[in-house]
Amino acid sequence: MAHPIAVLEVGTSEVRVLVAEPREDGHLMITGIGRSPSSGVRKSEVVDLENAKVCVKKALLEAEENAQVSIQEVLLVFSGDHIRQVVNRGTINVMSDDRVITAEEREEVMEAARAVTLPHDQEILHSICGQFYIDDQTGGVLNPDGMSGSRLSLDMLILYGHSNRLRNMLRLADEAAVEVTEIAFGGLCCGLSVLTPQQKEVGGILIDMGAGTTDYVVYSDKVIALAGSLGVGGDHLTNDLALGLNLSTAQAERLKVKYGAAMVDLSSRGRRIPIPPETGFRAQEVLSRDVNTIMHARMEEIFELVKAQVRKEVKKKNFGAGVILTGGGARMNRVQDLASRVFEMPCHIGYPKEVSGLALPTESPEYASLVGMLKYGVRTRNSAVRGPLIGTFLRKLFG
Amino acid sequence: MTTPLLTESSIHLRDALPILFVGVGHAGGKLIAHLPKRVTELSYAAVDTDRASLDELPFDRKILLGDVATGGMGTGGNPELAQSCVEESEDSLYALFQGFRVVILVAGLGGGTGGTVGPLLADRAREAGLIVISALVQPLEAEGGSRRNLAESALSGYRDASDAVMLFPLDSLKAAEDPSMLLSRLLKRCGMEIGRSIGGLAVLLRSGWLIPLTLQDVVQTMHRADGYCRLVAVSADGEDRLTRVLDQLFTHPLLDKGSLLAHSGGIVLGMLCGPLTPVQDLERVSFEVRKVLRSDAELKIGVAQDERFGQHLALVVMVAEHWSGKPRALPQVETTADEAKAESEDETLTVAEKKKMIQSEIELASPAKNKGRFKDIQPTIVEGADLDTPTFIRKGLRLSFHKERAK
Repeated sequence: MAHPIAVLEVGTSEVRVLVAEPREDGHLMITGIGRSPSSGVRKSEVVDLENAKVCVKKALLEAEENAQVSIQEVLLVFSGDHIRQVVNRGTINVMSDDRVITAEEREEVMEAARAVTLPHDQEILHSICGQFYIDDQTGGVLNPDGMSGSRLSLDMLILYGHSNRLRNMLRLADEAAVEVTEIAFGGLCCGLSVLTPQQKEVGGILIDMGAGTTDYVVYSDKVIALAGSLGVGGDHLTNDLALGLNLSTAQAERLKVKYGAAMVDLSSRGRRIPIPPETGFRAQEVLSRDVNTIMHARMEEIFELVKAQVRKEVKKKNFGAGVILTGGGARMNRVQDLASRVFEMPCHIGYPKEVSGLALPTESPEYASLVGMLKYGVRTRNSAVRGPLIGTFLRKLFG
Repeated sequence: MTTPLLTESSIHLRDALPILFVGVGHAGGKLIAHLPKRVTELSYAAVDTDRASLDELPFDRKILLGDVATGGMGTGGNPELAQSCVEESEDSLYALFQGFRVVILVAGLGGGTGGTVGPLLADRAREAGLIVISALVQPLEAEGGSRRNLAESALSGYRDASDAVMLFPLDSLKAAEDPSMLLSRLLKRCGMEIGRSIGGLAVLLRSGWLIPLTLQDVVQTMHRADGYCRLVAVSADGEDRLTRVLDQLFTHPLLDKGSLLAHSGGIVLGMLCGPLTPVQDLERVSFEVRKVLRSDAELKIGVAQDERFGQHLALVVMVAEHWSGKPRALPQVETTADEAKAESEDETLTVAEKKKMIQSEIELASPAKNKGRFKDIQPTIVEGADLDTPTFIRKGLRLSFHKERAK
């Protein structure tokens, strides 16, 4: 076994820490878990550093006790609707006499494709290689090494975000006395965790439904064609129920988890759900139909927004792997039915793969991003040359 | 030569409108059995009380109603048995309707299931929040008095529970053929007419509109048509396609050779064409149709484009048989005991209570009060919409909760 690694996710509803020991074959054994209800975080962004720090410390301590290790370094999973993407095409001329493309030229075109100008308050988070194009060929290739051509182009998907918001997350870890060695966008981590190479090849839409944000990643022809985040999540469902039915946030959250559904359930439309009293909120009954009407409207809108982005940004219209849902929202009753209807393709829940150990992270779609980050950490640790996910942000901040 | 109106750049696909075709009873199932192969984009189902009849049909979704009540032997036109069948299979029906916005029921009016169960299905579909279009085949005069009586009664039931009733009288179709035609051929022709027209309407509603004609346009006309409409689809290709398509329309047997068109007060005309259709084709169709209409008739025209249509031109025309000009009172949806109580409470609300209910809805819709825990943080704005405001408020969805609170 190699040294254990730890990942931290400061979510809107919960702070989570996982500790794992990677085996030589790349398999991960989860040895520790720490959780703490989140406070001071909205839409996956820190809004109250002090409160958030307490939660992070609590989760780290629990994970340390659980795994019997001392956590000094963490890999950080982040999200937020400030994260944007741009596809930048870089082009170079192949200079060698025989016009055979070499690894050097591949590196050169990657550098050219990464060269984008962003506003001063934005930072590049990931630059992800798309397909290479040789001369005027319309069909792209994944690896141009050894092929002949006079001009080489590359489409690079660049994810960038607001520097200060990311800095706040790093400061939070710093205050909790752990060093962040790598950061990665949660949506990309989910892809690493739940999708098989075959699914990536035939294409699929992965949607990670968290409490604060909904992240999405679209695979098409083996490459990531789209990635982004919407500042809407399970918290909005709770808020909608609280406002619509005059409930406290806690009452609404329990109602959502226990009785909520993404589709209006006609067989129980007249059913009345008892709501126990709480300080400042009297006991009452709400109609099942009202609950599901509120939730259906919100969930349908989220899926429609993702669908609109996919239609706008991705040329390919067929996704053999369909829609894959992860995150806490994937547990919602009938959410698969709704996603299938909106996207007009099959939908299933994505569970972390190639991982064992403690049951919760291996069996829960909520842990897809954390397990994916563990895999990303193992990959970057083992590789002198980083793969397609290249975190430049840390280098710029601390390098 | 093309005009900017019809260039490829203006093509846009509408979001797919979930439409479900349901063949009701033996005749209904048979009439649309050929459709799944012809129009693959739509969803199909068959519903019957007769197991043997249902087994013959090629649909993926089939529901045998009232297996316990009838043993799969049919209702024999008994209304009480029909009621029991629907009640017994209510959960299956609601599950069938889930996820669709429009249901098109196709039935023969003279049959046991089509005549007695069908109106109850329409009622349940409306209760499930779907727009209900009933495409009904009227039996031949020659089929006799009792069957005609059953058909009249069934028609009334369908009208009460449907947003629109499209009538396909077999006698009208028979008149177009030679007197020696076979009954099987007549029924086949009827099935083809239903498939072409209802299928055409469904395809139109899901296509990319160049001149929009929405589901609401169609529904509004249906409601003002006093419930009954005729629907025809005609198509042609080649150089003289315009002339031929208009000839077919003006002589169509289901429009009584054009006389229904000439006397109707409300017409919806959808034109489906390929991407290279010139604007003068639309102008010609509009001009020729307007020429035959009465002066006060309301004509709504939409143009949809589909690349698969190439040089073809199709018209789908819905003609109001009786035009009231005023919106018909919507059919009453059967409610559960709780809902009935809530609704009766709504009716008995005093003016002050109604004001209170509206006030509470207005307050909820005001930006200052509708963001709850998100009111003090940076809003999530996408395409001008503030996503921190609950979706149900932005969409104007009403909750029973507010009625009850006003009380």
